[in-house]
Amino acid sequence: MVTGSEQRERLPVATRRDRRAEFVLGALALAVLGLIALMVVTVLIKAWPSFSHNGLDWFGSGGDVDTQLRAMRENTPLPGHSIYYFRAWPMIWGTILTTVPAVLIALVISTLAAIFLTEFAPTPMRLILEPVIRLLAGVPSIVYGLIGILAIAPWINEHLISNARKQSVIQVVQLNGANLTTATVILSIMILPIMVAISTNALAAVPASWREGSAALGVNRWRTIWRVSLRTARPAIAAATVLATARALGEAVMLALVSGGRGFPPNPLDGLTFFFEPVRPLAATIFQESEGLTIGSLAHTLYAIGAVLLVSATLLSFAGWAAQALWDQSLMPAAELASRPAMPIARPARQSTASWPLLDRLCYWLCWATGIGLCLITAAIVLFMLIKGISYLQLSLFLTSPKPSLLQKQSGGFLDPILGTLIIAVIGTVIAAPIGVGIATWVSEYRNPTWFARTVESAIEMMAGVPSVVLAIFSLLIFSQGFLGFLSQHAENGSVTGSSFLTAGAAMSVLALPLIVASTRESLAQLPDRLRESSYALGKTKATTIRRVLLPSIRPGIATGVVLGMGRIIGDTAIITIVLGGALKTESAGGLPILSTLRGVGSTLTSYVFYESPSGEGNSPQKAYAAAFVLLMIVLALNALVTRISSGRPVMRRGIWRARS
Amino acid sequence: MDPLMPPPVRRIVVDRDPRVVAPRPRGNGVVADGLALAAVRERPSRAPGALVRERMRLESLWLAYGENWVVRDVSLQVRQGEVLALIGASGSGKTTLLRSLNRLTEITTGAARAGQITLDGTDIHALEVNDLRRRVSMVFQQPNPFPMSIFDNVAYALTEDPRSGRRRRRGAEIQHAVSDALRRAGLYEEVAGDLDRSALRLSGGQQQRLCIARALAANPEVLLLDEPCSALDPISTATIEDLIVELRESVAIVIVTHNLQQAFRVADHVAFMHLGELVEYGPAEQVFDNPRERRTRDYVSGAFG
Repeated sequence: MVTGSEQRERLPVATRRDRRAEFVLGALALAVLGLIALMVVTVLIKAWPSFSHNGLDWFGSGGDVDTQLRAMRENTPLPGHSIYYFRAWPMIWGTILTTVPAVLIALVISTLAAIFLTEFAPTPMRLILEPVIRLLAGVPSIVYGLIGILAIAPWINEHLISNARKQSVIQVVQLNGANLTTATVILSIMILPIMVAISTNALAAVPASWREGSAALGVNRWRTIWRVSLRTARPAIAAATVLATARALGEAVMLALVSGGRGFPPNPLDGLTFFFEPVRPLAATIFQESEGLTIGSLAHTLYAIGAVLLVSATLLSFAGWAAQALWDQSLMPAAELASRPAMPIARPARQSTASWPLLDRLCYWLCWATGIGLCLITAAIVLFMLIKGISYLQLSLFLTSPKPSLLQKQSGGFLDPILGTLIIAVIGTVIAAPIGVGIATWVSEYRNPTWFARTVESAIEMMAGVPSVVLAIFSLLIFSQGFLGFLSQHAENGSVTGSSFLTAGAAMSVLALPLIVASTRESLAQLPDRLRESSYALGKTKATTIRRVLLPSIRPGIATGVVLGMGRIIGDTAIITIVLGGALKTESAGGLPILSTLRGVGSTLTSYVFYESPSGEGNSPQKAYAAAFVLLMIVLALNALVTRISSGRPVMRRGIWRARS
Repeated sequence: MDPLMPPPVRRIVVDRDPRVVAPRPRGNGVVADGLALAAVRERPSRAPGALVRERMRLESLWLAYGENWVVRDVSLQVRQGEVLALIGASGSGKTTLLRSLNRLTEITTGAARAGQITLDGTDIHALEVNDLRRRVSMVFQQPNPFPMSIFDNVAYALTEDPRSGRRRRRGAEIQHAVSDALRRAGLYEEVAGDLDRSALRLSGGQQQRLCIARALAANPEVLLLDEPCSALDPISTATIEDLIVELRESVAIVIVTHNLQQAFRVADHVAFMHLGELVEYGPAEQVFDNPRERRTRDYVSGAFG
């Protein structure tokens, strides 16, 4: 709507308010764009000295990365090299070696599992498995890391690596349970649930008419799935793969626990030993070395690693958009097909496979095997955590503060971490919710100009793909600027620490934002136009319509996004450890009652679990299990809440909502 | 009568001999466009001496979804060389009956059946289901081409035929079969230039003819059509009706239709179903011009449905 400037003065009050609303929401969207740009630019600037001193050799190999990092930490340059001397290849190689096989394994398993769930699984099995997989997708990575380092790594160490094998390479590298295989296996289990969830949705969205049409031509179930369903779902599976790759690439905490943490490039020519050699992926390195962020050269190097991750994540996002575009295109006529009434074929009845060709029957049984395997893995994780958690959980753990002591009896409980988790979750959500809803509203309702709206959408999607460890070092950099000192504390030498509940919460809000935006936007898009039109027809302005009609009717959608975001915040470890710092007890700063706590530092459940894990200083597996169990219960509760919110809509509203397919 | 229901638009005249009258072109009778052309086409009469032979036989067939019997005690024959039209109001069980002919009802959970269906004398439940469906193929109400190229769509049934092993996609034999099927479906001229185009980019009428070509490519013995024209415009409908009439020599055709005029134009035999029962079954002339049953007369005269 273009109005001449001469008319602008005489606009009615309501219209002016409308304009203001659009302006404010648009400004929010612009701010997010600015934030992304700021992140890319600051990380690159901070990383520049490392790149400029090493040139393209930064990516090459040469020497031992661990030694190079230690030299920076101790500020004693290696003989004949500058302090910045760094050759990242062993880490890049380690990242590739963990990410690529994990994604490939997860891709095969998730596709088979998704086919099993949509086509072959008996209904009771599906009804149990689907929510559990959604739960597993929300399990914090620290929990996977804990299971890996405490249960799987020792088992691999004892049963798969012989002493002879250890002795044979003892001069070069020490083999133990934390190695390439452990890292890859846990990583693939970690990314599996999200891939299964997306692929299952995509396969379930394949129009029944296509499957029916294929059946009517005398083509059996498996071939129909193979030729028609998978073909249709291919772009969605690709998008899921991209998402999972981004997660695997940015995974820091879990890999820091189970990958061995030794900057060693495993050599495929070593035969079987190759699989048991330790690796040191990029993201895990940032996490492990984060205490050295105050040391100039090390910080520059870590930001350089962060920049590499950021650029890779962005490139992956681009690939994801391409896949998504393909998916939308191929489903456009399908959506039209699906909107028409068809024969109610909900789930096909069981069919004998006796007449199928051998290959088809093999695939069919493979699907079943995968489905049962998935059930077993799921049950194993859930039961393991249940048994460990219940056996180590005591009431006193909830009531006492942690104390830094190596003695089990004296090290206290996790009262402070629970409170810390609560504080962080509240701060993060309070910041992210209004901004997220505002941006989603602008993107969905105003979208003017369209190119800008598309850019904002892409930026939000990119934000969702940024590894949290990169977000953490970026936040620390921003919040340790002098003018933001009021958010945290001043160190003795007058510099700003950048560590506080406020700053960590602000960093967390960036994690939650994409989820809130996506959920709100989706809900707004599903509202029928007649709802808007009926409000306009009563003479209401757009802003009033949004505030009084649209937003109230998508309350469940907003709530879903907020709760999902909260789950993401609660489960994150990297930001807590890096931005909130290593203090176990909540330590206030300043005199004001509430603000002092917020400006102070402390811990959350995730950082507590890490502290009590073998890699942390506490090293008390029992307390780590107990805390991880509590963490899992909180995630489970949030999950149940999401399910309840998104399915238990009031009956009255269901009439207004377009039927969800 | 329900007081809340509006009165019927058409007056019911039952005293006089009811007749379906094809609308005549208005004005001076000059056929102006395809639309009028489609409306005034006469019912094609069968060539004298054409071979008519029974392919399928239904004997006291009962079909149910759960507790609900949707087809009750239906017996009829499907003959090659003829078009059999199933007519009747919504919910009369026509589509369910049609789907039971190639056991597609089995896809729906809770579907039950009593009675017998035979294909060339063999009970269809004794046949392997995918074999049966290759012999008795089906075209649906909504055109449902797969999200592949036109070529791949038509070649689908051929490349997926396990009897001949899965053949290579571009074998000369398959190419020939594909173009032949497209020709029989009357689509070849329109799409010959670009068989690699996505089938989803075709128009609705072309998509439906593609679906017919896809079914024909596997050389089925019986072709089931479930309201194939209900989503199409009159010109595409006319094309497909011509096609049906042409095909009946080589394939036994069963068509479900809501459209009485369409049944009148294409069918040789008509079965009128009401609430799951077969009310009347006989040659089209008899059912339309001289129905034995009063319900049939009401229906074909437009009293309900």
